[in-house]
Amino acid sequence: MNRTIMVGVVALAGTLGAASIQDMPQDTPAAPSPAEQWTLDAVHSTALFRIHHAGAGRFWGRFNDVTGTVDWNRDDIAAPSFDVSVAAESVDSGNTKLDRHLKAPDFFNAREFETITFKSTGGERIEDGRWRVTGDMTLLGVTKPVTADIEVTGVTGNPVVAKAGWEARFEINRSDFGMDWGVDRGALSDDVQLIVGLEGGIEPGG
Amino acid sequence: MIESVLWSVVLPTVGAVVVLLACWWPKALGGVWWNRVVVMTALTGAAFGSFVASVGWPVWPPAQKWHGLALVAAGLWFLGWADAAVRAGDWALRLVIAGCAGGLAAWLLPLPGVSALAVGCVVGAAGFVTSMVDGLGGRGAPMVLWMWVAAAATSMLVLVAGSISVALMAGAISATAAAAWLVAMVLRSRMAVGIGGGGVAAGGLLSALAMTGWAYDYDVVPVWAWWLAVGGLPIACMLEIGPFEKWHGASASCARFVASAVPPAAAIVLNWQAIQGAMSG
Repeated sequence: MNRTIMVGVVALAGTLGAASIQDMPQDTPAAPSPAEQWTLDAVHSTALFRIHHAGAGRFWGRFNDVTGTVDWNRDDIAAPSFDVSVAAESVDSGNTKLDRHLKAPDFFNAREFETITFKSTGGERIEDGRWRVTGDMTLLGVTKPVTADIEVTGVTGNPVVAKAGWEARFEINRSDFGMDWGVDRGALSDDVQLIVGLEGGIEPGG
Repeated sequence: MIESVLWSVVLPTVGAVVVLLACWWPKALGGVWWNRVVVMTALTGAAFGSFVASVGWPVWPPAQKWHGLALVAAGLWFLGWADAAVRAGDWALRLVIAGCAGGLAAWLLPLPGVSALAVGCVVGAAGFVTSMVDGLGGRGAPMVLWMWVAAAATSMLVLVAGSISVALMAGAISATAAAAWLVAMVLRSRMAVGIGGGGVAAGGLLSALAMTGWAYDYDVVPVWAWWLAVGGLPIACMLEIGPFEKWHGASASCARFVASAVPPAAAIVLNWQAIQGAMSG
């Protein structure tokens, strides 16, 4: 009788043990966690542009109103995905007269085309914290693919409240977008270098 | 900037002068209708040439709304042929042609923040006034002189507003109007009749340029300045009717020119500081 009970206990234990082994996680890659959405801080985000003037000096200007979102998981190696919008009217050269020309039809035509946008379409990792991101840039109503080198410049905070920064560097030919003034006669270069510094945040409920 | 002025103002003006000389030199062609067509062609051609030099050949549909200016210039050139042929007293037909000019501008020049109706009404009304004055015998010379001052004022105000290419177009019209007057003075003995004044094309084009400058302006140029720049000719019209109707000769021409040139000249003088600033930039 005792022997019969012992066999029964062992069999039950064996069955439960087999079942618990089946329930254990298998050795498969973990699914990527969903990207966090970082809302850009317009105060601490800036877009700078540099252009060659009259074949002489390199002239810098900036846009003060940069908004948008970045989808990025700080624990993941995947490239961030950017959806950035720049208000053309916020162009600032440090000279009011020049700003009027830059907002006018010959350049950014801000009355007609209020925003300049960039939307990511893909990206590849270069090294830790650096990616080459491709995306569509729309300027003067013309959309062209561009490639930007992106670097994460820092992440602070905790899982609930956090800030992160990115810096993007890329170059465009403005004539590709129909901004031709001064290109033929060398008054201003066709190629324009852009440096965009972004800071985004995640907040509870955000 | 100097190179842009050479390409977009001087070169189109030289082209316009060649048109004027080529068309006026053989005296046999110097009829009233022909002289109106020649001046109208020189003015619209200079504006079109300036646009091509600054922006390139116009495309359809225009990549940017203001690019419609080149198409308006071309359309007004076509209408100008009919306008030049209208008899002096046929105001109804002039009204129809000016209405077509307004409709053309409303369609081809959809300016940001401005209704198509407003564009059409202003261009049509300006075209009608210039067509009426040009239709009166011997008014061409004071008209092109008015165009010289009015287009110069418009060019300067547009430059203050920041639109360089549009300012250069108005500058080319101004220089061509002055050149047309000078060429006509030189060839006066060879011309059978007085020069034309540009008709519906002159007023239509000038008002289209001023409206474009105003539409893209960030409230830098006061609204009254735009009206002063283009609003001289209606004042000169007052000297064409009632007791002044039979007033002819050099003194009458001089008075009409002065009356029409005072408002655009005032627009320049009253905004001189801003104009100087824009030119030095």
